[in-house]
Amino acid sequence: MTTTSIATNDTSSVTIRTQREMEKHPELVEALLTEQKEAMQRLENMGRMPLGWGLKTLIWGLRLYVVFMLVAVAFTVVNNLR
Amino acid sequence: MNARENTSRALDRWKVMDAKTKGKYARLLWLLIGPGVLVMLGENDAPSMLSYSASGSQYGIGVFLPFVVLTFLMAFVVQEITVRLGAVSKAGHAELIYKRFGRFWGNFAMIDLIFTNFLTLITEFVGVVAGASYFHISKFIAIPVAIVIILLAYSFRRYWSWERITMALALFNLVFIPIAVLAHPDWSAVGKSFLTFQPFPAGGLNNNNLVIFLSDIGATITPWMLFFQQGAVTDKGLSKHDIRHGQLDTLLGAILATLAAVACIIATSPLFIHHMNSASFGAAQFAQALQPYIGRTGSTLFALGIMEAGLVAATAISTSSAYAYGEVQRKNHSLNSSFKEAKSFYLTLFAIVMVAGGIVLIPHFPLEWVVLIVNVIAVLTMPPALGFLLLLVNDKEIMGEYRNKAWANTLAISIGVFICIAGILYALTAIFPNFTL
Repeated sequence: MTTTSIATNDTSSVTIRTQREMEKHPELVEALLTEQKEAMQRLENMGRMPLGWGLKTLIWGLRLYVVFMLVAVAFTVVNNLR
Repeated sequence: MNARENTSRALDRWKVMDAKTKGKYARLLWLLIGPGVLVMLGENDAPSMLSYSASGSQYGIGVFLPFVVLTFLMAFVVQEITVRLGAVSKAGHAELIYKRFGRFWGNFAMIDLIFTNFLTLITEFVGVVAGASYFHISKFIAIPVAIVIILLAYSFRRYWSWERITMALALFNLVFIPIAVLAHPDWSAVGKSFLTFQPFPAGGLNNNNLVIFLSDIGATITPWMLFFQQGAVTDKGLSKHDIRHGQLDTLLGAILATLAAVACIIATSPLFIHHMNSASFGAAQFAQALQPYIGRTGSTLFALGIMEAGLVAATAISTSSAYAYGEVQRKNHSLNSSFKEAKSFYLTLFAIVMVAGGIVLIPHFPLEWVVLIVNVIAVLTMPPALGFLLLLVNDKEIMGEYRNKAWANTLAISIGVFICIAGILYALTAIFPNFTL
């Protein structure tokens, strides 16, 4: 009954207000979390994103940018401390 | 996921479905808002409010008012992406980076996050101490009380309860609006600044002015926000069908946070008008200096506002660190779980809060130094975070039909380029002090 309710977006057949009431309907919990479980399954089967040389250059460039900027911050701090 | 986490999330989904079925749209909005409001008001944290105070007190009503609106628009564009990523993938930001780019790049992202989060968390406690000092409360009392309040919010073992408590606290950020009114600003000058982006700080884009600009960007866009909102959207259990409400939630948060930030600049502008030297002010000094212009009530509210900003952000930032740690360790990392079920998640959270709070208690620790640079460092570490965010949201395998459209990519890339240029200008002025634009 409850799984059908989910499929038809009909919540009138069951009244659930608390977690304890929800625990009494394991099939409903299962149905309500279908999208979540499917997404997790999909992610589980996913591998690494293929990175071409362009993307690799971009990511390395951004990383070097951070290193360079942190050196600039350190430079400012040392100058201010002097 | 454990049974308790499942039933909690299923109950939330059931309530959402019930509200949708019965056409109760106000209730639906109430059920679905949270992560966006929290992340935006959370980012109006102690160093951010101090940065806005510095803008208002050193430059008065001028370019910083529309500039802050612009930075929150940028924050909205960036944070909206995390709503879609979280609702579609049902995974946290760190988890996706590790999954799609591997441990090597994931570790870099985590180092950036942990480093900036930890520094920021220290400054949140500095904000709490500074606000408390206005009321002559010792830091040895203020810090433990703040830690207890933060930990109490987690004791409900339910994401929903934690979110509502923190959101109620976060709304106190709007206290800066009445403070701005108490400052009796010249409203025509306020209107004019929004229309003309003037007056611009004297001296152009030199190092001092750039630090304030960069600090104001860092007050609205930081890496922790990406990790927090995606984690919260996942923990809240938003579905693909809730994306529109998630976007509305983020927009609402951005509007509220902009109002508070603009109000803070206006509230501190009397210090500029009366030529007060506020360059080295902390929160308590701002509150005390403002007293002749906004009255005892106004300055008390100002000190309370800084304390609240620190408290809410400390909660959100420690959660974002714990979410990321749990995702990477592939351990239970949900606020819907009990302490026993998600021991490493809660222990990480408590440890981060305790250590950051403890550091503030160390005598002679250079706290002012940390406060000054924390927003700047947050901006400078943002471009790689934005890069990963864009790669993930354009990942067809993860996002399918929900991936970014060309115009959204153009906007996000423009924001990334803008932040990079701001950083490069900062570096140039740091290395060549006479450099100005």
